[in-house]
Amino acid sequence: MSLLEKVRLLGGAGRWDVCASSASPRRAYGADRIGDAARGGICHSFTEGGRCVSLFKTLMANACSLDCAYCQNSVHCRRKTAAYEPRELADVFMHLYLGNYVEGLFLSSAVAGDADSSTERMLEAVRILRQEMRFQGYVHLKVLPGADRSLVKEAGTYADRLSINIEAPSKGRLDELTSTKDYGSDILRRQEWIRRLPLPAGQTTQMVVGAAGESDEEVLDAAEWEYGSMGLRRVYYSVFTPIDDTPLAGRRRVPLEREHRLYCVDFMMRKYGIGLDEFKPVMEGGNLPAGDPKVNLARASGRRPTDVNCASYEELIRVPGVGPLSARRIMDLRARGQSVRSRSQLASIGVAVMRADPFIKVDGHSQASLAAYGG
Amino acid sequence: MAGFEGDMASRHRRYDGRLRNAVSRQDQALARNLATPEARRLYEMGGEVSRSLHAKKGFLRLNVSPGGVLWAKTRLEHDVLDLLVDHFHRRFPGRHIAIESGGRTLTASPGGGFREHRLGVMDAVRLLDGSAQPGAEDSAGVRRLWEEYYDSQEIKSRVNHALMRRMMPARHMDPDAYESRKASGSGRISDWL
Repeated sequence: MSLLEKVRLLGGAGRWDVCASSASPRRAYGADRIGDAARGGICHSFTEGGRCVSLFKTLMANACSLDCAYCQNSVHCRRKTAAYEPRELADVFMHLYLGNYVEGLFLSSAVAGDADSSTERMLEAVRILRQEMRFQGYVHLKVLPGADRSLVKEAGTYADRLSINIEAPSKGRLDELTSTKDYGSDILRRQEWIRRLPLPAGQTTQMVVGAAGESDEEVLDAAEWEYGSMGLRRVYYSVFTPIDDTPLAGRRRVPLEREHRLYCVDFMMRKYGIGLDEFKPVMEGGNLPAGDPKVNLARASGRRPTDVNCASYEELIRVPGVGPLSARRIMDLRARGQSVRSRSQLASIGVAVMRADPFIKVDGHSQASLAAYGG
Repeated sequence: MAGFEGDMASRHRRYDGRLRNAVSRQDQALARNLATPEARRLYEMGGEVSRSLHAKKGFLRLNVSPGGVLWAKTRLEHDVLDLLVDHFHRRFPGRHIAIESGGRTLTASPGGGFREHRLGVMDAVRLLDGSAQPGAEDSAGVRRLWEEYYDSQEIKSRVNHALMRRMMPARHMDPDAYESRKASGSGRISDWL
């Protein structure tokens, strides 16, 4: 098999892991090193779907012994198989990195036989990068379900970030998708091991949404637990897409809008401090209704228009079109003896006034629109 | 990097010091919270410069000369060539870096020496490389690797060329870049609906 074919096959096999973050606070040292990690992360391209491509995201090998029903690499699927040699992978990556095509490496693998031998091959590739090639840029390593604790610890010495995908919000849901992964012992236990490692960019996870019929409430409950108990930096959501040759090939694709709504709520939980309990009353049958979750929340609250010159910070950030930065500027203005006089001034501050209009009052005036009445 | 510091708005191609003076004379509670059009404009100019620099850090492709010099020729919207070279110097401290934009070539050498040349980048690379024909070592091969990898990331059910073009404006991209061709290749009306 040619190298180009391997790159395509194993890159394609890894594309379903949606995490593209390449941000790490780790500082790089040494005049003979290659690479460093950017604090804010850098996108090097965008796919035809608009997704950031920042990492060389690939599997080490794609022949898997697990039977995950949603996965193109599972034991069910007929496919061409390939595997990198550790040095081969390191060479390919360094060529792309020196050319500034990628910001770092995202490495996973199918479980070919057992998790430990697959993990060891991954670690050998990263060892070559870090120790021989003196690469000090960003590395995100996947932890394979069932991998030994010593290997997880070793992975933590090389990586900026580690992750293991929970794939489903609960054991019951995961058991509907696979018979070869145990939620508690194979996955959660490894998350707990990862949690204890001093990783510069922490730990993340991912769920496939809609493959086992789970509701948004189940998904977000699980995310809330992951953030609180496992200390995760991010939970990623990937809506189910049926793949040929898998047991779920005949199922309907889950709309992308569902993924978008989940990310909206996730963002508000993490960055705005809005608790999940506030969203549950607006859910329908456990799912977020169509439309912008923040707008739905604002409408359902029944609150009178928010006076931007009297509201608290918590009240301001619940207004559609007002984010934490704009809310802080409004509060700072008021603290310094000024007030917001007009909508154009609000726009200057950074508020998306068209979105906010049905829900605010400026200088004593509110301006309802059809949207305020559910139109 | 001494001598290359300065806030971002002042690097904007349309920067006018009078705007900054006007903002400095305003009530600072209003100005610092962008509650005046002038403060908002100054802030936006800084943002445009930061975003264009950030885009170049990601979208600029480097060639590797036979002597290991990392080089590129590009077109920058704003005055950020020094910051761009500094970024790659920090990333590859053991390598010579040479980037040309707008008739200027800036180089950085291992150990931190920065120099501006009135040469094209190829001549600058020749000086650093010590070779008669610096060229680019296997750029075509690496580009081919990238194109295979890039194509492998496509998920057909998620194609959205309008979003792609919004995230990756043509002005930041090398017109020869593979992704540029992909982004411009779609003439489907559905992209615009």
